[in-house]
Amino acid sequence: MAREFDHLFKLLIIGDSGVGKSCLLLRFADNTFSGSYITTIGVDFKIRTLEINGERVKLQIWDTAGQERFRTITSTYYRGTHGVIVVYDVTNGESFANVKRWLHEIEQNCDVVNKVLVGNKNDCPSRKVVVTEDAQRFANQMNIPLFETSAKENINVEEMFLTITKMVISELVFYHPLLFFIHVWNCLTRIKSMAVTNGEKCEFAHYKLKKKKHEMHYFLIHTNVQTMLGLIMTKFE
Amino acid sequence: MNNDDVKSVVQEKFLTSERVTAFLSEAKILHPEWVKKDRLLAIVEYGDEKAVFCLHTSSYPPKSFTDLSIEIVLPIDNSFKCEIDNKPSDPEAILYLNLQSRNIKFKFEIQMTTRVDNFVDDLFRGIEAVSKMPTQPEFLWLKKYHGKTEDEIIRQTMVLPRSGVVNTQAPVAIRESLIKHKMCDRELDYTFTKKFTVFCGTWNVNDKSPVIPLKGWLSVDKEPPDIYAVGFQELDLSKETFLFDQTLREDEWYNAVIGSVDPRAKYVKVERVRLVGMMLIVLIKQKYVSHVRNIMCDTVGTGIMGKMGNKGAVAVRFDLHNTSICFVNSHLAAHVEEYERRNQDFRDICNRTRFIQPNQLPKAIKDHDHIYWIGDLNYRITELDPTNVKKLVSENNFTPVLEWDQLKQQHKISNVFAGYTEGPITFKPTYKYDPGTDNWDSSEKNRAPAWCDRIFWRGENITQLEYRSHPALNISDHKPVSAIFTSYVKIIDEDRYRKVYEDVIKQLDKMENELIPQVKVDVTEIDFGTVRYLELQVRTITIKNIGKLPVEFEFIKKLDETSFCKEWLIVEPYKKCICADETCEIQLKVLINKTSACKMNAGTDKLYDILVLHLYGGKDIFITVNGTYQRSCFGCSIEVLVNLNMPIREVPVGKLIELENKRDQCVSNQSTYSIPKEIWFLVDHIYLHGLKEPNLFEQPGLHSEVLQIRDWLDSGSVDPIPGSIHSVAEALLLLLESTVDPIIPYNLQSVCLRASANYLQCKQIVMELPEFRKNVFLYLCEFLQEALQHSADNGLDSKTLSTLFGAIFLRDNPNQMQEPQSRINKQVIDKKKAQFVYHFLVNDHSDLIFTR
Repeated sequence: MAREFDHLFKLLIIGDSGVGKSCLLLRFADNTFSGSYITTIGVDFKIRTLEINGERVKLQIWDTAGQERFRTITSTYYRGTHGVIVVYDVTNGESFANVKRWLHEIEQNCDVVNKVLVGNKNDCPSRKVVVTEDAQRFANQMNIPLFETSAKENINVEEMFLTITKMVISELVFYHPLLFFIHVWNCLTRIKSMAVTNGEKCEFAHYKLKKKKHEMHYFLIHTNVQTMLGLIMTKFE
Repeated sequence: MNNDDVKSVVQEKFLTSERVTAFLSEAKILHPEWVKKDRLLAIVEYGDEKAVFCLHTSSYPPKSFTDLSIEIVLPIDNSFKCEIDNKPSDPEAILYLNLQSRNIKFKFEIQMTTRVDNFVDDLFRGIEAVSKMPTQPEFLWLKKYHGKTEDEIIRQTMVLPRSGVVNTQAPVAIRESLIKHKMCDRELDYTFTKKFTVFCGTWNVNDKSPVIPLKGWLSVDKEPPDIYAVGFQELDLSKETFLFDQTLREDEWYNAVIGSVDPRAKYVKVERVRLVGMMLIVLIKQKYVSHVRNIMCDTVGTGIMGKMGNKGAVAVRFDLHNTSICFVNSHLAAHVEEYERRNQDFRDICNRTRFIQPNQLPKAIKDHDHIYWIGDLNYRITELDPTNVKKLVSENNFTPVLEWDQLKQQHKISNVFAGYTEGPITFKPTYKYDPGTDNWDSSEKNRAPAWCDRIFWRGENITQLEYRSHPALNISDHKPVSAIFTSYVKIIDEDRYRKVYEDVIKQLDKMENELIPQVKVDVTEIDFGTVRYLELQVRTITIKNIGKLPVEFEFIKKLDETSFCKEWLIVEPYKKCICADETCEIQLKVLINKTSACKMNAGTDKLYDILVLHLYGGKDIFITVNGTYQRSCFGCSIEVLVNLNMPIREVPVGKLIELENKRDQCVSNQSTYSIPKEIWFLVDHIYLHGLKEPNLFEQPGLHSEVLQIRDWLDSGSVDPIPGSIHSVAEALLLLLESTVDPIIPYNLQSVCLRASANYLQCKQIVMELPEFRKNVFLYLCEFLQEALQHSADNGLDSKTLSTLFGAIFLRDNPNQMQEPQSRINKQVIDKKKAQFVYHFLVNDHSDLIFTR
């Protein structure tokens, strides 16, 4: 049976202008690096497919403009995101100081989302100004994993993307069923529009899922949407 | 047409092995996207599996099975559910049948008839039967019916909203088969080969039991082989076997084989398969069994009527490591002259053998890396006298005889076994002997000896080491034959496989990324510089499609905005498709008119916007537009203008914004003018120089002169007003039109219109106008009365003037555009506006001025 992927996730890369967001994406998606700096004016995306624990995961990774003047517009792209990568430049203290603002931005625009903190350009110790200990302390305080990467030297990039993807997967299954619920809900409403159940019944399912947490877990352990839908349908018939 | 007729038509739609057990016509499907039309429901049984089919019929009742098309297939498995509702209003006559299987649900409306009982009974019998089954049935037979399957429906439901992810090009199926294809191409990169020895043996046992040991056939080699494939023909020639396909000999011979294989190694069965008298046993050394996967077998009968199992083939396939292997044991048509028939049998076996795996395309014999074909192929020696054959053979001089071997001849011209190889024959013909002896057949038929029993192979990396017969095993009229091969089997190196796989995936991702639309925009920041009131400015940007596919772009709205750009900006085209390598020019035009000027003056808008250029299926590009608006008296409110006792360009922007925002609290004081100086300049100029100008207020001015006059007013020049009288007159009209509020405020408009017939009431309204408005209104009316004094020269008349100024004094509120006014209604309103102004052009209203 043709199967392109088991999961499709949207990841978002944010951070100050010039910290290397596009380079991280280019390194991860195309395994290339270009030293010449072209500032991103807009939002761009690339895809990459990974296999994690036998499941095929397709990532759609969005790279955003970091410039201050675009901040309000870029924040509208946060919707529907599964994971956010907040990048700063280890050779630029201000970009690290601004991380708090970016985190705030996420809070304002996303419901529940996985985050990683990334200190990029970690390839020239003499120019490094954001020391690992400070960054780690801050990351611990915010409860976000920290990665120090170099898109140029291809250090830690793969690991970082892998970690956030794994976080998103585990999130889906256990901890924050909300995102997954939205996905299921989309499926349900589609089916509703196919006149399989009437509207009231779907509303009922909606309500139940939201209210009873333990039941939610019961459903969400089944990552396979098809099985889940079957379960939900029979449960609320 | 009665029911049985319909049923037989429905039955024709299916194979004979798929029995229609119940059916129901006139079932209306209830589905929002489908026409509520009659469908035919049928329950079809295959073995102990049942399924419900929903068929669409083009004519009712269906006359032939071609009228029917299968729409939905619902297998009755553990997930199958059936619920029946009554129609509340009509519980006797109408039933609702809800059928659900594997998450697909359908609802049917059914007329209550006796046949419904039968149908529903049958349905519930099916559900009951399935619940008792120990394992879930697989429903392989349903694969060929392409109804709306579960997968299609699930795929439809998986559509995600745009805010989440973008749907990109490469369709699933292509990507999937590309991966397979690329992995195949690079097989050498992640496999190594390992040598296996394969023993193939064939024996037509002529209805005998294994009364002698088989060691002399199966266990004569120096090393024990890794794989055994042993085929028998004519295991049992009894009628019972032929008719019922049951025989005790199967176990006898199987046990004989097991007991006679090389004792130095331990073997386990891969598979054994039998069709009537043909049996194939495949064994493998125990240490390799864990690498054997996807074992499947099939049988094909080519005997009586081309279908029966007295002739034909049995076959076993499996994967050993990464090599697919197929063994075929066949018994082809008999009789000397029937070689064409034998060729045909071979082709039939090739065409009809199908190994069916769940979730995969069925495999044919030819789809295997290694094929070994053994059996009693029954080809004979023709054109040679039997005595002669026997003589040559007894001298071990096989070459002249083999020249007349039908199989060698047919193989040579590729009529049979094309692509297969046979090793050189160095053994005596294996047929036909007197059983129990090594003597040629002594019956009166006096047949010529023949090499009926043969072994062919096909595939790379196979070498035949031995090809021989075993004459000592003499219980049959055939002698057994065997061959030993060394075959190199591909083994996957897991680490290298993973690497190559990741590589392939990356390559495909790269391809997919390259297919994402890409454009280059030459400028993303457009600075219009200084922008002045009513002065159109144009800039061009060029979009080049640098991707591989045509791209469609569109400027899209930002969240919470009603339009993709500000009202002072025009983008043309805002949406277009560009072919690969082609470019498209987009014009951006800025024009500040009275609406946008008011907002600029009040500080509620500025010359700055970010446009979102969206590529369908791709990225968004932000285009920043900015400029500096040079503030002008146009677009200010009267209350602000009377406060400005210096040219507007010299007023700090902040001050201007402050004045605009506080204009409601504006009162006259020492520093305010009674009317805006700009109005006074223009009126005074016309009064002094243009009262006698023909077509005053009717002939349009020059746009360039109007702009010069604008600059003259804004900069407070000491030079005389530039331009002709007509340009000055037009500038005056434009200035009056551009004020934030009209001279007579919007909220008084309807009052004015109602009072328009009555001069006294009109006067009352004007008296109560805010101070500066009243001043401007009366000042202008006085001036117009003056102008009318000179109507002989300037051609003015009070009707025309009152219409012109009525529309300006009583401007419609653009924010309150009511439902589009009918033309008549608009004419009435315009007439009333004119009438209102008319009073003040023909009557002496100096009393109003002097009450001040």
